[in-house]
Amino acid sequence: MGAPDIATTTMPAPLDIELTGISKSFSSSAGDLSVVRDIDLQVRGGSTTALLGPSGCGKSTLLRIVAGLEEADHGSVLLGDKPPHARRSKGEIAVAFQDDALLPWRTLKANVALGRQLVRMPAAPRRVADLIDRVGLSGFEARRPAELSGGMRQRAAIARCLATDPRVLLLDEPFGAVDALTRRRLNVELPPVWGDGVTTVLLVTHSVTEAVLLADKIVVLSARPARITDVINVTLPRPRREDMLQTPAFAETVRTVEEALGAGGGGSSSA
Amino acid sequence: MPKLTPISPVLSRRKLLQLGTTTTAATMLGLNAIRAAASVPVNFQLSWLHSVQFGGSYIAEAKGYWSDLGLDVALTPGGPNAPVEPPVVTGSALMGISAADYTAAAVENGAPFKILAVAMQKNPFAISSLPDNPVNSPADLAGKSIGMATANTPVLQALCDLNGVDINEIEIVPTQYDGAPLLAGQVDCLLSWSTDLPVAMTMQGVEPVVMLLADHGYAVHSQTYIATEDAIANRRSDLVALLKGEVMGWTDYVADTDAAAALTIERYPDAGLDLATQELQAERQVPLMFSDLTDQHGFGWFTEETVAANIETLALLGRTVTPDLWDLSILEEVHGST
Amino acid sequence: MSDAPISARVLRFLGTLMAVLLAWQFAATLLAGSFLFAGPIEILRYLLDNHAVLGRALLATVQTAALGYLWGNAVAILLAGLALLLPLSERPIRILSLVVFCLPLIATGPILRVLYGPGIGPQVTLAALSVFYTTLVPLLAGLRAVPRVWVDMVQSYGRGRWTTLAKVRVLASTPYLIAGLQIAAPAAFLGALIGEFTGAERGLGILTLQAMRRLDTDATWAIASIAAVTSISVYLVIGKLGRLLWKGAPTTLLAPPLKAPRRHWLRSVAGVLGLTLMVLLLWQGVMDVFGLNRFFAKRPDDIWSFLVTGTEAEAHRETLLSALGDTLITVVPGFFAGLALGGALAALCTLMPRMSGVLLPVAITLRAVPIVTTAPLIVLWLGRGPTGVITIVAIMIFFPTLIACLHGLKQVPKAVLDVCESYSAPRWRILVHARIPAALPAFFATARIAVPAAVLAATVAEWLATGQGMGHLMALAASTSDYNMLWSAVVALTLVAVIAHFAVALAEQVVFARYAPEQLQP
Repeated sequence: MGAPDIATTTMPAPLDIELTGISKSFSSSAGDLSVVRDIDLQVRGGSTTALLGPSGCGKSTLLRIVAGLEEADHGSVLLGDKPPHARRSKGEIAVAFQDDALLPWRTLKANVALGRQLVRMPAAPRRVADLIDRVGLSGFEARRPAELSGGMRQRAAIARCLATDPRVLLLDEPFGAVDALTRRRLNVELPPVWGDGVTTVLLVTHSVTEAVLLADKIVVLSARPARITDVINVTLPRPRREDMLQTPAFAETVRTVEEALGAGGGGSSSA
Repeated sequence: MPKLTPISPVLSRRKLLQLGTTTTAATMLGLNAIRAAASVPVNFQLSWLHSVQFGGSYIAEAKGYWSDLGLDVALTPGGPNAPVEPPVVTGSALMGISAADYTAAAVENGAPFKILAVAMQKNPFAISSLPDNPVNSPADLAGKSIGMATANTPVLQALCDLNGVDINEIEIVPTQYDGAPLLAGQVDCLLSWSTDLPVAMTMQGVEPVVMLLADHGYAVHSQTYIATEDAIANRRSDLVALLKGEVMGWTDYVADTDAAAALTIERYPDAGLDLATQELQAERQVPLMFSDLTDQHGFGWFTEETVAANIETLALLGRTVTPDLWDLSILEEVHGST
Repeated sequence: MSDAPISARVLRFLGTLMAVLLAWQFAATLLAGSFLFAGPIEILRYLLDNHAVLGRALLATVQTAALGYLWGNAVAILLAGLALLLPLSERPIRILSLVVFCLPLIATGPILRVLYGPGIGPQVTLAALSVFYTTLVPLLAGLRAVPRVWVDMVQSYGRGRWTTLAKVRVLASTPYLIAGLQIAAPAAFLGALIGEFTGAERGLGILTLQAMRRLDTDATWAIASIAAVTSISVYLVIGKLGRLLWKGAPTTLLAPPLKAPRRHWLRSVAGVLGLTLMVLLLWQGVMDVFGLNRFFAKRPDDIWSFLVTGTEAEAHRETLLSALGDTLITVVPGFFAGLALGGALAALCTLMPRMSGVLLPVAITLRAVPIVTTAPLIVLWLGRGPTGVITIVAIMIFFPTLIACLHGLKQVPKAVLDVCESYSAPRWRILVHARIPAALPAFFATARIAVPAAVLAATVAEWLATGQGMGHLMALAASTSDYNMLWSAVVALTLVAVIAHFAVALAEQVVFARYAPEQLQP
């Protein structure tokens, strides 16, 4: 189901993500280490999908393969009808990393603008200013990363990602480095910034709460090598708010996910 | 046998450039410059930094002796890390100033050098000591410590051999070329040229006892003029002119050494020289350079006898040479046509 | 770093300065008549009396040093860029640079003089040679010391290594470049000064030689003071400029990741052979391209026959090895003493930040005063035996070590320091547990640079002051036109430096494997 290829500046149709038979292993002194095995996955355009699994299970590797930062040994990745490398240079993909990846010598504003520069889009000062405002950082434009708190840096990193109006947003535990309170706030405040139903979001996390708060669909992965053990739809209404955490529906979803995680992550079951 | 190339490509390019500039100057200055246009650029490699040690050459240049002879001479200074032999071998310098022992060593290593003339008839090596603990003769060296560059050990060895002194009774202290260790009492005496460290000590108010090695049988021509066989064969007239100007310069020098010192200071204000020291040095090198022999035959002369004495001393220094190392023919032309 | 108001800092500085000057004058009075040492009063008098000559000489030396500084650093930057864009070229560039940097002045001087003829060419080249390696090594480290995520980020926008270089690496390496440029400033000046020994018309080096011959201690020390003040000023100005231009210094700079993929030993051997072959070809090629005369510009086969196949090869080898032994006896302890001293002083400065106000100027001065001037004094104090040379070697390398370690000790991630503070850990504990591990990469980088520097310092000291070892052998060989021996000495010293370089790299791997395994990952 390919998306029509419309110019990205107008309202483009959402891009589906389609993974077929993805496998990846790394060679090391102890022999080959299989990290990802036989992943088939379809992500509907415009939805948010969380890849959830135990630490070190290979979910980040899977995300890097989708971003085109890593080549899969087998299988194919399609974003709409094209592989990642054809999308990247047009700014159609943006990745938020565990580390904020802000360049310390650039001001906040210059860091946000960097994404557009790298894909050679025209500078859009108003769009940048607007994004900074929307992630709640206005007034800090001229500061350098060293002067910002961890939470502020993550917001800035998200703003940089959004500056190119990406059609696919890949989040690799973007809030892993900040404290729990800040993390929860970011989880609630940031999705509306990108959640316009046009951007396809793929999120890697090991926090069940985060997955439930952010995602429409949760893909549960086993311990290494990562295989899909379960797929759970989250039916909570949007926009998600902090007070939803107290609702029985939320607790019920969390419980379902935790059970799935416990069953799938328990060990290496057969393929 | 390695074949030695006379002129490096780098040099020929530079020479071309020089020729270019002289020609332009000639057209601008008209008739008067025709001689300048015809003048041959020549590099003359000195053996050390500029000082009155080369006073005669500065006079030759200042008084136009060389330009009258059709040469445009560049005097290239030497230094602690600027050996004379490489530029002369490659032909980037037409003539250089060396010493018989160094020239002999270079020839042993394949350089086709000849000694054309001898500026210092007497070798300037001397042993300086303080008056209350003097070294007046080689025999006094026994039991003393001497400060010297260890590179000069063969010199001391030759002096000992010539005078029947056991070198093992002398304590050799390696020093820089520097008078301080003697004045600071670290050593009893110093081996150096009679024309620099002793002069410096005198200027500092300490009159040292100076024993010239040449007065005790050490016969090694110093400040010798060297050129390659190739230059002697192919650039003979330039060599004759160069040496002729040199002879005229040194003849003027001996007539007024103070003037030579003054000229040195004037020409090289940045060389860090001091007039009084230069005057004293200019005076002190006269007896080394001028003798009955030069009075009779002219500056730079040498004879079969002085060559034979050199060969003997050089043998003590471990250098086997034949009289072929010396070539009087250029100097004969110089003095013959004076 | 001090938070005291500026006026108090100025006062403290002036107080220290006065104390140093007084001590200096006192020492000079004690040593009066030794012709080795002059006090500030005599120096000042000499400066006033001879300001015109000294000014012209300073200008001449500064001019050649500046040209050499520009050329040397430009070449270093170009080579570093090349190594980064063509990873295959990095090893050859490193090794060739090391070899060129190791070439003793006493061998290169005459060749440069013949190549350039009269003029400042040789001085500029020698100044350039004395800086390019010390800039190249930290710059290469800096260009690599980029967190992986920055590279990923650029890549995620579909850009390759050119963009990574332009947008990330160039700027990330700036602190390293500035450190290198700072260390290079005094080095270029000393290089130009020593370069004047190859037969210059004017300059501070020429004045030094003449002053020492004249036994003019006031002049010698006045010139040395000018040299020191100039070096220190340039050092400080470049540091200041660096801080002005470089505002957003990263709080955490990962150290250069050592890429040490386990290679099959056959491949290593092939690599070593290939590099050797390349060096030999380059040697032969340079000699032939410039048509350098075989009398003084020896080729590899000349040295082979001199040391291996010739009739007196065994005697030649014996002379060479005995001199090499004499030199190694001083180089090895001097090397370790210099590293230890530099590291220890850096630690001391971190423990007692006030100490750095006193220690740094003294350290820079020690490095900035030309060794030609200090060598006789050191020899007077420590005798003409190995101790003097060991001290000179240590002095020459402790300064870059100190600077590198000071930088390194500051490279602790802020988070780690916060953790330490939160437990109110004492300074020394932070030093041992956080700062020293963080400084290890910088320490090993400087140790690698120090290898050729130590060899050079020892040979210069032997040449100028003690008359032993390789320095003496090379001087003797040059004066007696024994260019076969001279080039053999060059080969031997280069081999020693290269082997030592790899020994340091090995030590680095062993230490990192235990204390900082993350540094070993590509």
